[in-house]
Amino acid sequence: MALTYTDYFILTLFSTEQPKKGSTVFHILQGKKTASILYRAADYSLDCFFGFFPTIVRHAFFQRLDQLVSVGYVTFNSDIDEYRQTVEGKEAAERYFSHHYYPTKVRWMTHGRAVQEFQKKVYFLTQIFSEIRHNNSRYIPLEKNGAIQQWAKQWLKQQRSDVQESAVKFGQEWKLLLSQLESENAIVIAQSMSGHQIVGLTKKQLAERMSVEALEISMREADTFSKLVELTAKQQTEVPLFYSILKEIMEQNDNSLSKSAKETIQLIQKGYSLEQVTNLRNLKKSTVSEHLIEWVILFPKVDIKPFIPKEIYQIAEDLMNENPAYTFKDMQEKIPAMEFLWFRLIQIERRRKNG
Amino acid sequence: MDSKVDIHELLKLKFGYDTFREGQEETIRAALSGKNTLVMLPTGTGKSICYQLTGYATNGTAIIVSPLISLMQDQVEQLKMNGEKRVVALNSLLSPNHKRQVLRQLHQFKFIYLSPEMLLQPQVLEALKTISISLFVIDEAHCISQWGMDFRPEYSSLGQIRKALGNPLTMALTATATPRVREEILTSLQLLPDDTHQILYSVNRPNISLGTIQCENHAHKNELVIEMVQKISKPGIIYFSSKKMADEIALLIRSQTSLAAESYHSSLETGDKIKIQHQFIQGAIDVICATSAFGMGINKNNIRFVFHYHLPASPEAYLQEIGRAGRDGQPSVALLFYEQGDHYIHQRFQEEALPSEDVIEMVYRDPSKLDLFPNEDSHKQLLSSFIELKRPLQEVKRQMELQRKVKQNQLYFMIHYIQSPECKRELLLHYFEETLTQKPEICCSSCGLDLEKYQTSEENQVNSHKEFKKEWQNTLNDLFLLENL
Repeated sequence: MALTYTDYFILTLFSTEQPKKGSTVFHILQGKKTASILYRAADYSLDCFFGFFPTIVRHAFFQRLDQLVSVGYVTFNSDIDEYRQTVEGKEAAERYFSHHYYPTKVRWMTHGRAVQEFQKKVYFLTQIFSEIRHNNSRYIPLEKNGAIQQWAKQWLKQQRSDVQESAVKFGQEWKLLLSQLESENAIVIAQSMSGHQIVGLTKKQLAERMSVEALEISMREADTFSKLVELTAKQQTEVPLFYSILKEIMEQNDNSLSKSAKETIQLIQKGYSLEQVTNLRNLKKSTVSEHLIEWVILFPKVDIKPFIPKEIYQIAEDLMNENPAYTFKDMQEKIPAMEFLWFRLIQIERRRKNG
Repeated sequence: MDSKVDIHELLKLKFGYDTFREGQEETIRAALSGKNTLVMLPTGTGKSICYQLTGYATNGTAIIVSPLISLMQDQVEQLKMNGEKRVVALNSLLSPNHKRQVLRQLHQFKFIYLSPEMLLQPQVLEALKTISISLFVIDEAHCISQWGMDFRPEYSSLGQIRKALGNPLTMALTATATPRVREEILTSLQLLPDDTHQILYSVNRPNISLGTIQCENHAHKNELVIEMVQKISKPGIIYFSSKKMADEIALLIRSQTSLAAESYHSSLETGDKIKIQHQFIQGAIDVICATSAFGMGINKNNIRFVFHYHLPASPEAYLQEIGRAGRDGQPSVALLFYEQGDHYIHQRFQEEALPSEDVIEMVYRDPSKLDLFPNEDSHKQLLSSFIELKRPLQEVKRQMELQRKVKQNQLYFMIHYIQSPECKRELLLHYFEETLTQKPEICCSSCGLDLEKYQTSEENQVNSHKEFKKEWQNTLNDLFLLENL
């Protein structure tokens, strides 16, 4: 059976150099928010796709992986339960993606939620402004999410200029932004828009008209919106309406932390020690450690040093410089007081520095 | 209550119509004279106007109990589109904050849509007691009855709730209910038959001709469906019991004909679902291949055919689905394709639809076992409401057994409907204990159905595959009128 876009995409998630566990890759795509999966996502260089497929089906994922093994593009080592891309696989993926779209801008672990919210809001405002331009107030909103409907009402109220004027400006901002995109991407975005007497195309319809699979359209869309977020942030003065939407999302976007982790971090930020948080919240020490790891992974600017005793940090740093491949076990032999949390934090910091 | 209100003027003012449809005026007048009403009007004849206009004509708030969130949302949006701001839907989609806010300002609303579950919450009921209720509406009232389709245990508490609210003026609406179901609606709502004005119209839709087509096998069925889809005027809907087949046949139609066909079912992303609905309403799609998820709230008058690729589960469901055709009164056709063994899919659905005795007993022994079910599980929802309503175990077991039998009989009826050489229309009416008084000129496949009469005419131009616009600038110009600025 011929391989599909989805198969080739899965193939690219594996590497010829670093073996990866199938179930870990699955959980990364699904977006399972535990410290170990978050860490692995960064370790496997797959943080960009973390949570990109929230409804992925385990059975279907492994079936595709098996198929990649059967055609020789991936090898499976059942002793350690790890998959590795073969050289043929690498070449096949390169050949395939030389004429298919591959996303380069998505950073789903850190930006996924914000990008999706931005996309929803600007598409909905597109409909609203288009109806305003055509002087029509009798229409059914295409956005069904009550919170977004409420938000749109508030946002429109805050605009100082005349509503017709804002509508024109909004359209012109779209033009300016789309003109900076690869034309195929601009087409995908424009054809998805709905407004006055125009209903946008679904992903499947776009896929059929462009003779590709629906996933390729999803990838283009997510990638393009990631790019639009980047452009909007850079060109604040040229696209003030788009920027005001984005700014608000960015300011509120601390939701990438899970709820319980957020509570832990709030206490830490108030100056409580890890032990105090453990007692106060009546949690296991390991849970609080996980929250901390989640935080430092999702927020790369957070300094890890306050959480590690100074002298241990220094010795561990030196040892890791000597031999970056040191495992936790190796480290514990050298420094008996070493804790796993400290080791993980140091690893994360090194990854930040070295990329 | 203001009896001087000119309801014709109100109809024009609020909804833009000049005349009432059959049954509407009678219902509104009965309600305005202070009578409780039980209204049975066929699908597609504008039942919602009955209570919405009554709501406008009276002081206070109309509360409407509706079984489906999507149905509620549609009604709210339609009212809002007509310029009504004092409308809200109280359901599980509302955030806790927003819900509290709504409950505090309940008196400001003219129309409040509620799910029955919401109505059972003490704080909601208490808040409703503080406002002046002009009308208590039960939409899809057949959900009260175990003898109809879509039985909902929460609906059986509506009588008590009505009492708790001080027996407000009540309007119960349904499209398809047998006399037995209607009787149960009255009893359950504690409405006295003598004091309740019943507005009952036949379920018959004379402008929809009925046909059944026996197919030899799967391939033959596909062939016939493709042939009919091309031949008969569009737009139309084909109903399926399986999402996979809906996708497959939509693809088949697209590849073998020049028609614009799309599939629609629960696996689509919300955004894409809405796009497809709107494309269909706008006339950009000729054929929708859908599961029963499609249709509610679709206001489209010129649907020319409804096909069933799979057997519908009950005559009630069948009538509801074919009732989406020909709302403009123009000739339309409903064809049911059947191949030997098609009913097995429903037998399997039925076996899975209701919890077994073992499961019921287990949950009654230890309600915490419900946590083992996934949230969206229909057994879990059903059993949770029984437990919340404190229904005794024996009664629940008996009800489930009865439901099983009812469903089985409904399915048997559908098989009989297909196989019988008798008049299809008479058969369907007979099920609802009605008799056919006047046979339409073109009636059904048993009486002789000449499909040539429904052929695509010159004016009925189809969409054919749309050209793909590669000019994104033009799209933006069209959306925002940017040219010549």
